[in-house]
Amino acid sequence: YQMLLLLLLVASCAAIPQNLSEKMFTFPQETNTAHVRLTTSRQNLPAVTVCFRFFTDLKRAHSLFSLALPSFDNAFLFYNLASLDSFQMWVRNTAANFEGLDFKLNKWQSVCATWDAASGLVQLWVDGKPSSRKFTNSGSNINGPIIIALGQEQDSHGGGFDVKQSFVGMMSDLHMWDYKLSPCEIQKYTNGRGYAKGNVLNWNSLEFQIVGRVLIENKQNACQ
Amino acid sequence: MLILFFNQMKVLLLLLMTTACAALTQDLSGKMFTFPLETNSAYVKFNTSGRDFNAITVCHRSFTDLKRDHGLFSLSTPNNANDFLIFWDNTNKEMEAHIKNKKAEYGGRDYKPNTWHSICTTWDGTTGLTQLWFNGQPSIRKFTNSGSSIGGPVNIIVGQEQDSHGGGFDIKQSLVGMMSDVHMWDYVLSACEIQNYVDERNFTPGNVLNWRALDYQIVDKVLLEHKVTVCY
Repeated sequence: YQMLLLLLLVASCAAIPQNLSEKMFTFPQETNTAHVRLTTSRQNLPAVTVCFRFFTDLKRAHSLFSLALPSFDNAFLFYNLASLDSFQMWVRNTAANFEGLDFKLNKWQSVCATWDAASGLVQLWVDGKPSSRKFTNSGSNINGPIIIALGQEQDSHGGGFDVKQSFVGMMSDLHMWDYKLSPCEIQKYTNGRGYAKGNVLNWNSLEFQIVGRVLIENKQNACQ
Repeated sequence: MLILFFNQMKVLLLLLMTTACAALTQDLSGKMFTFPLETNSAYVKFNTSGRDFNAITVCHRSFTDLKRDHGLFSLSTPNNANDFLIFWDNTNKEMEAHIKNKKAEYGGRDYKPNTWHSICTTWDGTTGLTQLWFNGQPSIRKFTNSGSSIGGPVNIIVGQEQDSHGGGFDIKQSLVGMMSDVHMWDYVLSACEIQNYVDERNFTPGNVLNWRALDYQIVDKVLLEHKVTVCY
């Protein structure tokens, strides 16, 4: 009975959602271990939108959001090739390259990406500005047990981290939806007000596990 | 007999004045320290009774045209020459914060010559995170070290970079230019308070070093001057 209770406690600890409103994850050093692990019970996604805000000074390539399935380590991956002013979106292990999206160092930026299995098109929005729409793959959903890592890039389902792909900086307001957000909704997210929170991942009710040195801190807001 | 008495009184008065001067704080509002020459000896020492810091914020405004490395704020303790050092690395073009000998580098700052820069640096001994605010713009928060405080009698110097507790100056790391509005707190300032400092609005002055009530000693050629203000 004691074991059962302990198991229950451990399981519930991992599963208690937290309201991270006005908070950020801080990744304060380069490692191949520090990350935030997110899971969801959702397994069959015909469309995806992911939005978050990030702040970094990295001039090397780094992963911003890494979603893996057992058969696809890059099932939905935001990969910033900062040195080349180039950005890659990976969907089900197929990449699309985006140039000239004006990512800045040392500045909070809002990024959203949309994809749907019907068209297979991926689009990025940086600080509310849309990118070109690019084809990755269509016909199959993102299907299977999902593991998401913030701070590291998965080369296997839940692992395979490379220090030279890690994220160092801060991240906030992460949301994920199982549908494509409209440009108007993305604008609302960018402005930070009045947008529908994610129905797959919701920053205001997030279940997560911190591994290694990642801190939850208050956002550093300007004087009101 | 009377002359001897007066002489003794003069000596006593002089002694009194010297000790009183050493303990006097001055309001340096509107003023700046000018370091007009490249030396390995000119500096200003700031006195504080504070010790055992678990968190630090240092803010200052500086003006220089140096195209080489230079120290901006150098705090040492008997154990560490670089317990809290703000340093411009001109080779890598980055501002560095050295906390207990651990370095955090901040590149990509537009450290223009011949213009005033407001620089604030925070360190929190509990989380171990260091952050640089350059003219009000934050950097990423970097882990340097946590778990132990900066302890012991501190020696704070502006104008030279200490390589030992109170000495070890290198002429090629000296500051030539001006320094003003130096404040130090024993806690981490919020983003809003740092903004108030940068914009020269009402802010809570330093509780370790307060530019408006500063206990300092000038060594060698450093001048205390009025900051240049615009004509109205």
